[in-house]
Amino acid sequence: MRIFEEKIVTLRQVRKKIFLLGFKSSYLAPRAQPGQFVNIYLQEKDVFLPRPFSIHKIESDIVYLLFKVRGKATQALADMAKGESLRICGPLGKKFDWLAMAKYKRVVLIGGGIGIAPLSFLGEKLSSLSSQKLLFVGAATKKELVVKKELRNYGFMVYTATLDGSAGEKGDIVSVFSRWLEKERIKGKDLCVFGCGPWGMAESLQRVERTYKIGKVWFSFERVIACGLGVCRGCAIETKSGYKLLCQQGPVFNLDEVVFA
Amino acid sequence: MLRVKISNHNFSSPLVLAAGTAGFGQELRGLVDFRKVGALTTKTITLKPRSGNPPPRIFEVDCGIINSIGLENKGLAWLVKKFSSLKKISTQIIVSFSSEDEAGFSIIASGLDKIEDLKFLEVNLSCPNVRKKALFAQSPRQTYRIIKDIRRKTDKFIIAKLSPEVTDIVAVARKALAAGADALSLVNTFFALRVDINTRRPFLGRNASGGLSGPAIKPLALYRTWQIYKSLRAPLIAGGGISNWQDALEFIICGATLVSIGTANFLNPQAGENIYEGLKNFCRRNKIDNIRELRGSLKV
Ligand SMILES: Cc1cc2nc3c(=O)[nH]c(=O)nc-3n(C[C@H](O)[C@H](O)[C@H](O)COP(=O)(O)OP(=O)(O)OC[C@H]3O[C@@H](n4cnc5c(N)ncnc54)[C@H](O)[C@@H]3O)c2cc1C
Ligand SMILES: Cc1cc2nc3c(=O)[nH]c(=O)nc-3n(C[C@H](O)[C@H](O)[C@H](O)COP(=O)(O)O)c2cc1C
Ligand code: FES
Repeated sequence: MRIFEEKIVTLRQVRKKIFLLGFKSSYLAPRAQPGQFVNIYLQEKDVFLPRPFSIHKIESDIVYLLFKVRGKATQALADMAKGESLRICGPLGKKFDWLAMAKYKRVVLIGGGIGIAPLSFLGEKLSSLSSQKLLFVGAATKKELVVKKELRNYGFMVYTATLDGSAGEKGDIVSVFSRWLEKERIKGKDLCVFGCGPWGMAESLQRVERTYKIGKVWFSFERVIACGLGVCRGCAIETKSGYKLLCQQGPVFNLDEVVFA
Repeated sequence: MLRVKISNHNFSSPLVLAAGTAGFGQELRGLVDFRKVGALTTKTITLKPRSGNPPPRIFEVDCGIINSIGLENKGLAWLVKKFSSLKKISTQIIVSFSSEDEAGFSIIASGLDKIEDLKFLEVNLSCPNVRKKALFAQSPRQTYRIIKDIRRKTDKFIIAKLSPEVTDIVAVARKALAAGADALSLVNTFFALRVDINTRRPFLGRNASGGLSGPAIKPLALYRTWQIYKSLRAPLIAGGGISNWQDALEFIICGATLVSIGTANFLNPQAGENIYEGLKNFCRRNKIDNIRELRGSLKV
């Protein structure tokens, strides 16, 4: 991992409050793996701590982030322009061992809101698997729903949902997923899932995991990151085997292991 | 130009990476040029491993953060085993340690005394996230007893880390020195709290409060540095909110022999190097042969 400065080569709005940002990095592009993230330093924009973003996808030597405007840092990023420099630290976090998904008959990716961000990169790696591949994406409204067409190209069957019913099924994406399990009479043990989204989503997905005895569920979590390097011990997540650091042992955890407060 | 000496110990610069903000150094290998850093203070260790406080442990506020880490660490035995590999980074290593009870301090000190290559001990009397009771550093008498007990166990260089949360910091500082501390380190974090108005819960984990650090505390820390320096002229490792070379210089002018960089390491792991270059340029521009000429030079 390194700290480096790179110029933004693309930055455009893709949905309501959602932006795609690309920078060239011959250092990061060949090294980053699905599950990993970068820290972006934005002190010059008056943002205090660095902010973490998943690697959304990599095309030759261009690394893309997909982010949603939530507060100061993400607004500052959205307001930047092509050609401006970013100070970046990465790759951070553990590489997700996606080959572990290969032994399941069905592979499901679930993204809640901006939780879709890391799924494209992972989906690309999974494209070679012979398993059945499904993608569940949910958002609050149609305007915020991001369905990446590249995932369709990687062989994923796509299900969508919005909270207000303006696109796809009405409801939250985990309920839609569990209804699908019910309707299709899917055997849980044949299935593995990779999810990303807010904490509440993780908690309900864990309930579904236990109800349907799903083979394996991984989840990519969010926490405030101060250093990203394992020095501050600030990013702890509670698991059955004690606290674990999101920036070192995560951000992807075995969902069944995670203890919700 | 930036070399500093305290008794017979040499530091390549007056910059110290503060406890809990630079791990044990190895985490930063390749990112930080340790030759420009005078010393690295380790995360505080305790006798037994500690798993730390329930998350969330960090909350960002204007110009700072509140943390409630709770001294997560692997314990004394781990450190003793690991020390020879920690030594490989090219800077002085200060081992920080603490204990929930008074008796623990001298036990750990005996353990650390056996590490031949270890020269500096920092006694953390002031962590806001461990004890429900008052901090040791809030009592001049307890401070005295603890440092005295440690002094009996070791001849190593002892640094007492003080809390800013006291009525009279000079009184505590005086007792620490009288008990045999070789230097003082200040400030540790200030007690702090932030509340989520929707849930009426604190933003940090179950412990509610935490310790405030970062630029928000700089003027408070500077004031305390000057108070101690002007009364006691003791070697001080001072800081609190330092993020650039100008901040570091302010502390030196207020009497710091070494300055500590904490939260700034999160915002920029290379903060130490940048401050080093800034101080060097300042000295060059102003024809200052050694930074110590500025120590305690506040004109009042
Ligand atoms: C490993 C990881 C990967 C992430 N990947 C993405 C991504 O690909 N796309 C995306 O849009 N978002 C991602 N996030 C979340 C993103 O980091 C936050 O949305 C961003 O930090 C918010 O900053 P802000 O100043 O705009 O908002 P703020 O006003 O600071 O906060 C808005 C929300 O973001 C959270 N937040 C604030 N500071 C931090 C911080 N330092 N670290 C983490 N969370 C924080 C807060 O809890 C709050 O809920 C990721 C988070 C993590 C931990
Ligand atoms: C996340 C975090 C962890 C800390 N851990 C320790 C610790 O283990 N021991 C200690 O003596 N001080 C600890 N501190 C306090 C710092 O060493 C320093 O005294 C304080 O943060 C003030 O300096 P700053 O404003 O430059 O950060 C910690 C501070 C932070 C922010
Ligand atoms: S963010 Fe500092 S240890 Fe993970």
